[in-house]
Amino acid sequence: MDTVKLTETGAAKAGEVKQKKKWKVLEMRELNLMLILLVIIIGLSLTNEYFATWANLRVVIGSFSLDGIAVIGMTVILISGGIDLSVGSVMCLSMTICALLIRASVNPWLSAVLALLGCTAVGLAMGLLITKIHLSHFIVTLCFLGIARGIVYALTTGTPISLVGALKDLPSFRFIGQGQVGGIIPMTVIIFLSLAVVSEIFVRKSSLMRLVFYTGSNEKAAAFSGINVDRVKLATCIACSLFAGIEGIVYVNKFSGVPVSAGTGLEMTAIASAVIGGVSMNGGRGSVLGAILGLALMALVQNALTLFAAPPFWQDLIRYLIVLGAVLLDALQKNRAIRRMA
Amino acid sequence: MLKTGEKMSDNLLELKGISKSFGSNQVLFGVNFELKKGEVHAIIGENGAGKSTLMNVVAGLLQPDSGEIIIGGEPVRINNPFDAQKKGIGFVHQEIALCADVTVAQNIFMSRTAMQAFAKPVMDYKRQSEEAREILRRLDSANIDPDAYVTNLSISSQQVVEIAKALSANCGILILDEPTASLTETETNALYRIMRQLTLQGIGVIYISHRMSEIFEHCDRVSVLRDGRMISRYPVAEARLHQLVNDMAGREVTTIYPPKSGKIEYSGDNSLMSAENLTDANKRFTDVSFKLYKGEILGFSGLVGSGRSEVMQGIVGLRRLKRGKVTFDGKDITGKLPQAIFSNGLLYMTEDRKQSGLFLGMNIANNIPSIHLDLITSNGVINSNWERELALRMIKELSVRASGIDQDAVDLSGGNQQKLLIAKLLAKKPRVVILDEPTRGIDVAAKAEIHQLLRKLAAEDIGVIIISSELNEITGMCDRVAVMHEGSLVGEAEGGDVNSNRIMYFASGAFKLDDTNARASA
Repeated sequence: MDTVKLTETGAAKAGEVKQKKKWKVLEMRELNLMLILLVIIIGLSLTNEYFATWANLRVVIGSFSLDGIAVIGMTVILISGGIDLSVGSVMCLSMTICALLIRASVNPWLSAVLALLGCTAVGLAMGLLITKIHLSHFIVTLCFLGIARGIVYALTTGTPISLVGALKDLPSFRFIGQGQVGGIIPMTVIIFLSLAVVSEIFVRKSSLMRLVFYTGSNEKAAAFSGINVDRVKLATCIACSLFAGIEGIVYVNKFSGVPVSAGTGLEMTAIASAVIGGVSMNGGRGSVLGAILGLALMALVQNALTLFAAPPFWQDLIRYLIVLGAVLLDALQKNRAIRRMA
Repeated sequence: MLKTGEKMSDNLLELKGISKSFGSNQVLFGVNFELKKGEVHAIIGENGAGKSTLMNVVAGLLQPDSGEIIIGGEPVRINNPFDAQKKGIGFVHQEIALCADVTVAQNIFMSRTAMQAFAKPVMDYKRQSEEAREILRRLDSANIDPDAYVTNLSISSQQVVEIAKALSANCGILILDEPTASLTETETNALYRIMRQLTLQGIGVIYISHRMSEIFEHCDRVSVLRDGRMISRYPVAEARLHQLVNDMAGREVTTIYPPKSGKIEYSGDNSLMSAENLTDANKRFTDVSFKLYKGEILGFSGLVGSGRSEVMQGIVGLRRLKRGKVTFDGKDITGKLPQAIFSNGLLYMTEDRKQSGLFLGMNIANNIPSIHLDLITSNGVINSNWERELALRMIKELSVRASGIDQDAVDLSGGNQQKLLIAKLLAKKPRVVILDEPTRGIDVAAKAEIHQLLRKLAAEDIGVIIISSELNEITGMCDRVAVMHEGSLVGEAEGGDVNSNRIMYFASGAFKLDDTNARASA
């Protein structure tokens, strides 16, 4: 019968690998986003004379800096493999606690700390339900989206709180939200940027955050590597609520009060920004920088819609179509890369 | 090259000059292959030799760059898996991919349901389950209820359902990709019977496997694939074991197992670790006691589900113990957290590299330090240079084949994933390593490398425990063997007594029959 002997070939040498680049500073996605942002910025400055004015940019950067704080927290919890739908309500809860305490003549700094403690408690409660009772992030945080908002309504009976008078006598506290460093740079931007830079370094370099990446990438493997995944998940829940709380403190300052609907839809903005920025919904991948670039894209699109006076009832449609487009573009590129390599 | 005396019509399937590249990486080089009616044709080769790529071409998951696929004498194009099914090709993948929460019948006819979703919008479940019963009968498996939920079936029954699913579309060519990897001995035998039954019906089977004994006992022809080239083809009757192994590896593999130690001192002060009366909180094992000595490889044998893995997980704190005591390094470590136990140098490696072993979406460099993050950390900050150095050192030490340490774990072949898993374990020199199925589903050469490595560890006075379902591996590697049966440690063998008969006697529960006989006669 047919006993055939075909060609011989040398096997690839095992264990021998090319020494490639040291370590990537920017992911493909982040570079892409930067280019897209650049194109939009150039396009807008050429087509709209009002865009490049300081007055306009300050508005954009101002709102961007606020939501950016919640985006950082969302990034962390998404990397852990979880999700937090409650950020908007928790932010508003933080505002409410802080404002009510200030109105009751409690020291404003103490009020802020107590508000943050309240948010920590909410995060802790959610985290315990997720890790001890094994409920899903989605269900627990969805419930707390309603619960935290419900507490706000109960505490305020639905009426907005004004702090215009109270903050007038608290110049040092007011500085957080309304101050300007050197007379131009809003304090909110500085707070946001410092949080963002510190968080990004933390995400990239700290061993604690590496534990979060492991947990998000494969929870079971993380547990089998001796990582206490419950503690990791609990910590990310608290971190996310805490960042939402910090945003609340800045917000209450900037607007000198609490509109009880504040933060509605924040979870959508935060999740969309993170996803546009390359944070994986399945966990294990992502960066603060990417998520913030994602948010920048969302903010610029919003600004463009305003500048070109897009009909208000069309704005959501247009905005989320653009979000979808950004995600699609990236997915297509990734698929092409996979076909090329795999 | 091929003898031309054979009639073309005998060939169900012919592949001529199939080549395939992914980018600049060519994985198949003009591969020829043929499958006759009623034969079982094995394809063997190391992991990464191109077996899966070749089968994916046949199954329509990939398109070849060049070459011809001929089915029943006609050149064809197979555009997608659907197409393959229409042309009579059934593919049973290595991993079971059934919908767990629907019935057997619904799984078997999944693709037909999809095809007819619009033509026949109302399901006739009764008829479907009758037809499923018929197919299962053809497979000699009438005991499987077509209306049972898949999740309630044993792994072997699920495998039968997979085959039934492949057969449901009147397939003439059946591809079995390592079908016995997760089966026990009895289940494996049942599978062979089914395979024979099918060949009698004229179906040709392409059989992909790593287990040599299967090739010799159950296949008609064998083709060897190495580095994307078809190296040789033999009728099994003319094939020689060493020839096959050499063809696969491309080099002389002389001894299959490294020599055993032979000079182990079984005395109290030479013990590294001891377990006393370990009992699981969830009743998976009861009163397990044993000791591990310096320089030895201790095997844990027993059937799947006998509680071997669970005991080890209990020892390292991954499972809750009801009672018992674990002593390691002279200290009581019972009930400590896995983190603390691991960092003391007592490590456990999971049997399932994909589910609970690797961070598949992360790269090699990030995977390796996951147990010992302190190796690359100072003051809580990760030093990426240290991380890269560690990764480069480990993949060299374990001969991991990769394009670089930035390659994601998911893109590695099975054998290299397994080596990466071991690299995680050895990143920091351990004192006791417990390896659960250290060579499952990997090729001969990688297996031999891992075996050499384990022996080397033992020689360095590191305690090694191996859990394995492969009797050969246990008898070939272990200085001493403990056998578990239904959650209890029921037998031990040492030195010359380590042989498969003795182990099977305990593992299968045969010793119980002897006991009752003895009692009856007394």
